[in-house]
Amino acid sequence: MDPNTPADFFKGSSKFHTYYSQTKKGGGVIDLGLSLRTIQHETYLPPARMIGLDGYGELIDWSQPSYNSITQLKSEDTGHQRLAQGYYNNEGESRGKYAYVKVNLDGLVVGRKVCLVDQGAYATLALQLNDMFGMQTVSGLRLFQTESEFSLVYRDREGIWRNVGDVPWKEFVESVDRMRIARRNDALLPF
Amino acid sequence: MEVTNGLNLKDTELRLGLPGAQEEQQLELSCVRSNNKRKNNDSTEESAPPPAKTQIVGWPPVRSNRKNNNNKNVSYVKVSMDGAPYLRKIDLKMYKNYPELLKALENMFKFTVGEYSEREGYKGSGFVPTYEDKDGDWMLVGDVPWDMFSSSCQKLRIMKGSEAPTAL
Repeated sequence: MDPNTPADFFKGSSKFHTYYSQTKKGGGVIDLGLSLRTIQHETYLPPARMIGLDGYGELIDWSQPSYNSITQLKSEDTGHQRLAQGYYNNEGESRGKYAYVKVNLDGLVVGRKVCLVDQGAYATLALQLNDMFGMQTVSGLRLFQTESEFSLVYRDREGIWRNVGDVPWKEFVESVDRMRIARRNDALLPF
Repeated sequence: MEVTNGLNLKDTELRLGLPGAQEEQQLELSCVRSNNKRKNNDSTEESAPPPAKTQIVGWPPVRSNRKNNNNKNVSYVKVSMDGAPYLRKIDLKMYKNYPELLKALENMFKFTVGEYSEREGYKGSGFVPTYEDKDGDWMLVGDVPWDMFSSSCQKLRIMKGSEAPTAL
C-alpha cells in the first residue's frame, strides 16, 4: 500500500499538469483526443500485467505435481518392460542354444524350429530339414551333397554366419543360434 | 482502493469539465462496472487449477491397477486369416495346449486345419497356422513346446498353403 500510493499520486499529478497546460492553450479537438488515448492506455496496462503474473505463478505450482506423476508412470513402464524382456530373453536364449533353433529356407516367409537334442549327427539333421522343406523344391534339399543346389549355413552366438558341417557336431550344437537354407547359385535354378 | 477512486474521479472531472455535469455521473457508473467485471475474471481463473490437480492425483493408481490385472491374467494376441475381412483377438491364457487353440481357431474362422506332424507340418487342408514371435520372425505353429510358444507369440496368422511350407 505505502509504495503504491506515491507512484499513483505521481502519475495523477503528471496527467493533471499535462491537461491543464492544454486547457490554457485553448483546448483544440485534436489535442483532447490524444490526451484521452494516452490516459486510457496507461490505465489498462497494469491490470493485464498483474493478471499475467498471477497466471504464470499458478501454472508453475500446478505443473510440478503433474511432472512428478508422469515421471512415476514412465518408471513403472520401464520396469515392467525390462522384467518382461528379461524373462523372455532368458528363456528363449537358454532353449535356443541347446534345444530349439530357427530354420528358414530362402524364399519362404514361414520358418520352422528344430530340436537339435533330437538329432545326433549332421546326417539326421539333414533328413529332418529335408522332411520339413523338401516338398518346396523340385528334387529335395540333398544337403551336404556336392551336386545339391542348397547349402546350409548357421549363425553362431557371436552373430557370425558359418557353414554347417565344418566343426564337430557337439561343438556345432553348443554354438548355433539359427540356421538358413541358402541357394548356392541362382543361375543354376531350373525355374 | 480509495486512492484509486480518487484519481479516477479527478480524471473524470478534468475530462468532462467542458461538456457538463450529467455525463460525469454516467462515467462513474461505467468505471464501477468495469472494476466488478475484472474481479469476476480473477476469481474464475483462481478456481480453475484446483480441479486439475485433483484429477491428476487420482489418475496413476487407476492405471497401475489395470496394468497389474492385465499382466497377471490375460495375454491377448491378434489373429488374422488370409481372405477373412476382419481380425480377431484371443487370450492365449485360455488354452492349455495346441489342440485346444487350433480347435478354437477353426470354430472362429470356419475352416479346417490339417493334422500336424513334426516332419511335414500341416498336411491336407491348404491352411497353415503361423505366428510372429518376439523377434519378429514368422514361424509355424506347433514346432516348439506349448509354454515356449505361448510366451513368445505376438500375433497369429492363418496362411493359405501357397505361402507356407506344406505339402501341395
